[in-house]
Amino acid sequence: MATILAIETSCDETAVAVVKKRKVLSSIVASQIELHSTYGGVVPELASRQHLETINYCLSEALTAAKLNWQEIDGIAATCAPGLVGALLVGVTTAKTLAMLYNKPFLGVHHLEGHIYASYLAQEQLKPPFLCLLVSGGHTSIIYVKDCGHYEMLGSTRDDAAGEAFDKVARLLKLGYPGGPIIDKLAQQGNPQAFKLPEGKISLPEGGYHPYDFSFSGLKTAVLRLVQKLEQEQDSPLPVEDIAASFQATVAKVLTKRTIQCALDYGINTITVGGGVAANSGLRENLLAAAQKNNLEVYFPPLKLCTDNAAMIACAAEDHFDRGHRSSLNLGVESRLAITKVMELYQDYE
Amino acid sequence: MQTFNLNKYGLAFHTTTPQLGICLSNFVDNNRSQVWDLGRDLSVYLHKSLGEILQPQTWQDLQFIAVAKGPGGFTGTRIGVVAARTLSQQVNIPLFGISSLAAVALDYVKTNREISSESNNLNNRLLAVQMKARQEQLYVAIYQFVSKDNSLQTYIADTIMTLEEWQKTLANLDRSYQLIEAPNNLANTVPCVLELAYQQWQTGKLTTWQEVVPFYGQNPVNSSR
Repeated sequence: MATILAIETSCDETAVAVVKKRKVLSSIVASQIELHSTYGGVVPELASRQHLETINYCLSEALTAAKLNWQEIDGIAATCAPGLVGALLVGVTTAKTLAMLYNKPFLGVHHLEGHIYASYLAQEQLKPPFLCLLVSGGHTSIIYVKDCGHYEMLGSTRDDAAGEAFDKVARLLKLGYPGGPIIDKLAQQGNPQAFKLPEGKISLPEGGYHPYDFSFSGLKTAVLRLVQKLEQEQDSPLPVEDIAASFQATVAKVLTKRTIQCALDYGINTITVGGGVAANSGLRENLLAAAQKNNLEVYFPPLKLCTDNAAMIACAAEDHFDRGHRSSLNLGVESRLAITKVMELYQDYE
Repeated sequence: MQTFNLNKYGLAFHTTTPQLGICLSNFVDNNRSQVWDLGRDLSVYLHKSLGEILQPQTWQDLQFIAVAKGPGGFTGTRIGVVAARTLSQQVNIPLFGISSLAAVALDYVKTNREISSESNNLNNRLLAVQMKARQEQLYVAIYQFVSKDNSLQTYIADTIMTLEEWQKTLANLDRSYQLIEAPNNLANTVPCVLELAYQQWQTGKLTTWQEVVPFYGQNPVNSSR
């Protein structure tokens, strides 16, 4: 198995890591949360500028922490899709420059595939097939993991990502950014049954509802209307804890329900969870309880591997590297790329 | 003045507009320069083009790197600067971030000297360079050409102004000036980027990759300076 240095700059974390045989030798993450918190969300151009100023420091720190030199690195990888184009370009340009300079193979990695591989770093025995529930600020998907590079998207959000819904609800409750951890903390002190909120179902043309797709924009609007109604009806402060608890319980319930149903329908016994929302206590409790009830296994990677990091990108790249997959130095970046098209990133597989 | 090792080379690249310009020179008898029209594919072909122009030299043959640091397109400028910073960091050689506007000014001097031998006329004359920016603003700078060593002295450093502010600045200058409008494509000024860096190298004013960041001029959030 190979030793891979990987770079991740798809959104607001500048990250560099070295992974060898699925062991993290170093993982440096420089977060931009403070920079973007003023604006209530990620400002793409600001993110790109910050990546440029930070990436080379992260690079030298990662190599030093791994106690390796360039001769000991077998391949260089970077997230090339999906993500913010300007941000992706900083990481990919750095990685391609290193690959050219040291004459090493370059591998472009799909960001969502990286999140899937975070579970491999945490669970050595994990093997496909399994189901991955990917929930973050940019993505909400149920992915059928068949093998390295081979995925089927079984469910996804039709509008907002789950993490995005947390951010938007936090903003309308004037709680700050990022919304997930703040809402989770407040929810501990609130009553999840206090308010009934809609689950968000996707109607099918032939009748009925899509069994695995999600919609969170209606839920967000329902919270907005609830807040407006409460503000009109009462002079006392908003029951922010109860609203947070009710909102979180609804999100956790719908994510759990669809994922468990999908695993049962496809006869898949193992579920992994990736993305920043995997840290949410409501989701963890709900999904673990439901999985136990249905005799399914669920793995939650540690939080540092759930949020954006380069170790997960290196882990994915290592598997591709070992299978002989290589990207061209002419590989570009893409703001959107379906995970079913992962193999297009590698030469001779297009 | 530092003496340049004849076996060593300076490398410059210019990515602030949709063209890619690369120039390599030992400042004696080996100069190679090329411009590619790449548009949005600039990031895709940058490394292939760098590799092509470098041969038969190697990265270890470089004495310094220069990069056009803007003003210009944010994304294109960033691609060049991040590649230059990484090369400089890894090869452990100086990196010079050169103003796109300074390169335009020097290119103007060289072009006019070639066609009319008027470099003496340009001596001590101010060169006012302007380039279109977003939100109806202008990137501007004023330089003074010094003919004895073909150098530029900065009179007003790169900044951004409204047309009105710029016109007022020009009207208040105490001597004659030549107004230069930067063209849309600047990659053919890459030899001037290299020359300006070489002049800096000769004076011993070496800069490292940590010091070189793009000149954006505009804040992406409120468009203020």
